[in-house]
Amino acid sequence: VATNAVRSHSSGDLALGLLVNPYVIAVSTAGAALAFALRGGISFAPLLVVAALLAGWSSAWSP
Amino acid sequence: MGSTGLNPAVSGARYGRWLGHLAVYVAAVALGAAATAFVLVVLETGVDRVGGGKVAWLAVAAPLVILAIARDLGAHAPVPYRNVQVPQVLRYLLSPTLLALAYGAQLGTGFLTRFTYSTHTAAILLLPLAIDNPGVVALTVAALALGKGVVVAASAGTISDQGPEGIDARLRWRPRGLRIMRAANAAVAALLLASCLTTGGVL
Repeated sequence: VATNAVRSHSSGDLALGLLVNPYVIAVSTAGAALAFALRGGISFAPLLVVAALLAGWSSAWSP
Repeated sequence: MGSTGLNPAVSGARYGRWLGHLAVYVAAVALGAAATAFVLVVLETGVDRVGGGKVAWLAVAAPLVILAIARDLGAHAPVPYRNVQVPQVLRYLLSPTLLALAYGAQLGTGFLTRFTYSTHTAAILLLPLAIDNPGVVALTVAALALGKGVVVAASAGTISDQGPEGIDARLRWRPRGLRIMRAANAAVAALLLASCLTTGGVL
């Protein structure tokens, strides 16, 4: 396995940090789930997709 | 977090190559999740054929989802998966492409490693209830793979080949982040389960 170092790009750190920011993850997914629930009753299909997205995305934060 | 061992340093510091590995990883997650979904759909179909129907499947799945939600909320509840992560030793044994394939397939399959949060348990166990709509099944599998891919993408620019350590700088507020993730996952998993019990759900 190659182990060459990659220089850290501070200009992109903020944007990349947002990808794993807990508020961004929680607000965008739980917010979407709540919006689906409030809009048309608690509908199974969109919630299933949102839950799967959150399951994958939140794996950045392993307990 | 073992998947962040796929950071650019592991790919030889070439971003084009790393993006290829990222694509392999996302595809492998989707394949792993699809394999699990296939097995569960076969089981659910069996339950359906013997007269159990979707209610019987839900009777088995719901308690497991509730246990996972309870665990997210801090209870020491048993959960239906192995409490291990992907083997770190693979990072030294496999080429980056094979590593992306192995980690992706293992994490996508899910039951081979711990499901990090209750949404994973809920989405996978309740997925067979959506089999009448293959598009939803495909979207669910794709969403899981995309979500896991985002986590690996966030490791871009890290300088370590040591996996999680490389991305830790972007996870500075760990205790609060974990609390937020647990709460969000428990809420969404509970909503998903509730949707099975309402008129707008699958029953």
